[in-house]
Amino acid sequence: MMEGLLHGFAVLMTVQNVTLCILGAVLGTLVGVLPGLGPATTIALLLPISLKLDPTGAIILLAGIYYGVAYGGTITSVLMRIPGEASSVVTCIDGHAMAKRGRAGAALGIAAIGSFIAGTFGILGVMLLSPPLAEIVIAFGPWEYAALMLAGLSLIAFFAASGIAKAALMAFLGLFLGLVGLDPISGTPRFTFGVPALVDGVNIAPLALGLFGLSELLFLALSKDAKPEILRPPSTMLGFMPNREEWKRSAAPIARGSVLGFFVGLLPGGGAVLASFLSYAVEKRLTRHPDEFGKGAIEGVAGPESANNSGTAGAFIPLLTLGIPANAVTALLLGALLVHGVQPGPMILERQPELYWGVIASMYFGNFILLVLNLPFVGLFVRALEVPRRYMATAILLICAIGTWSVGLNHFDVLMAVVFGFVGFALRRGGFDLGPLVLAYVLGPTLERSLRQALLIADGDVTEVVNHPIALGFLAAAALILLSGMVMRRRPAVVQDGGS
Amino acid sequence: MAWNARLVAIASLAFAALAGWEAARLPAWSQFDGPGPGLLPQILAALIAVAAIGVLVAPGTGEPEGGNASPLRSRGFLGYAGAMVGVGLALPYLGFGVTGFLATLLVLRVAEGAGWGLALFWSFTLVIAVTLVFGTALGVPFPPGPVERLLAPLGLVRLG
Repeated sequence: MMEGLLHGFAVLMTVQNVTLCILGAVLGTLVGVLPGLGPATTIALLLPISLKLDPTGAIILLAGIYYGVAYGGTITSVLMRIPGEASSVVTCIDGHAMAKRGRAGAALGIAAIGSFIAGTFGILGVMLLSPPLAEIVIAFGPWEYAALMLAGLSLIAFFAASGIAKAALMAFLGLFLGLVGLDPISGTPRFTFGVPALVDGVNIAPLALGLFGLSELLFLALSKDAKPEILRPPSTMLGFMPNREEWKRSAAPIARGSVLGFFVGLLPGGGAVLASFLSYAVEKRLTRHPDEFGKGAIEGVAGPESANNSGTAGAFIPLLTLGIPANAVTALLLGALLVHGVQPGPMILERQPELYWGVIASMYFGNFILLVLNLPFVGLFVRALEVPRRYMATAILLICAIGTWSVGLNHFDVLMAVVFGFVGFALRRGGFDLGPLVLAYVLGPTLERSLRQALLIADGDVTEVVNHPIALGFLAAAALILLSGMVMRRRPAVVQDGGS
Repeated sequence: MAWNARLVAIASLAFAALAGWEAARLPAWSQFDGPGPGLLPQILAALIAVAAIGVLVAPGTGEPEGGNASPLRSRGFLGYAGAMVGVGLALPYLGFGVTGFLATLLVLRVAEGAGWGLALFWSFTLVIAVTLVFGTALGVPFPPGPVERLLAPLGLVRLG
């Protein structure tokens, strides 16, 4: 393992890869600071550029954005009570309350340090758990793979904030979009309607740029360009240091958040957002200062901020070892890998060790860079909020346009991006989560291949699945997840009616 | 939000009908090759319809993202949407330089209400910046238009 990590650092330590890692981390922080512009939008915007890089460089850049965002989102949560991105929502509560009491520096400091510790723990977990998991998964056949993907999609629907019906609709539409193009087994064109550009399927670049980039643009058009009220961050590094009491109270939440976040991050549909909410709930229950919660309890910052970072790292395990993304952002990372001809899965450690270990090493390095860069440059990052909307929005429009063109070099992709932009806008207005759609779109071809291979081997006998206990287990889990999701959705309404 | 969700559900039902009709023309099963290219699409078309009916029944509540006001009455939204459609239609014919300049100008003048001076300055600056970063530095191929045809011989952009 140490040999692998050293190999990873050797891969990372080129001028290009180090630059990409720093660029990704800084861009991620910036994106985290800017409300509205999330990691999925930014990764979608950079997807076409990443195709110009080698696969390792591309993933180092895009992964840097992903874990950098969790750092940046804290800044606006603490100083403005506006979450820069979803996983920092809970930090608004106690982080901003601390800032109002003059402890903005301590809140930002403990968030950065907790994030660093949790991020490092998460990467260590990825390093330790991925190889044995890959060993197990390598024995999976088509039945197990198909069942695993179905269980993953069920979990995504379960965790979706929009509700199971909406998430399921998005997942089915995503799966369908993934099937457009030449059938991989028989070569029959499907749903191409005579359009040559569709023979290779719906390209991920117009889909991602439209759904995340252009739809965001339309929401920016609806928003008001108000000047935000920002509390002042400390001007010296000492101002970011928590006092002795704050350190004492933060140690256990950081440890709990790191572990909890990591395991939540492993689940499809889990990730950083759910990790931070769960950690907040846990800390609120365990605190010795319940009266302070909501009024500036440092545990309410230390726990969730640690959890969202280790959750981000944890999400790399299913991505790299199973080829199953945990959320929309990792789905885009998977899409980028697939475009590069890299198929993540249990064989990645053997076939592309430089990519696997290079990404791991870049995560260690990026995490360190984020700690070093974040606190001294908080003031600078906050100034990004003063950039008027019109400059950002027009830049997004032109980057989407040239990005879409550059991937397929055809008019149809550009038109598709525009259509997906309006579709993404309509879906978000209707309260639909775009995550399950993109995830299912990326998983669609693999799910279909596994399912058809399994049925072919079994001569069409679906009951053959009973001879595959692991697959059966996954399917039972999927059914249980969906059922409990439906029951749990109904329960709050009953409680409300009961008036308790 | 409920109204928007129902609209999406109705559109999804129409999509399911079209997809199901198209998928029905593909073989779902072959005696020799087993499951055919139509199998999963046919199943998915049915599942899309079921989920869409589920959304129609329980569309959810709350304010839609972006607020309750109709986007079609927002000058900003119409300006941005118009620029998006314009870029989609004109990019391959007018190239990036002309299309990007006109789209930015339209957004700034119509959607943002900026003055002519600022709009012209920013449109020009942004197009040059994107061209230099993407075209010159990163070597991204640009759609051939009048500006790109002038820049290509100078090695500033690559036509694609």
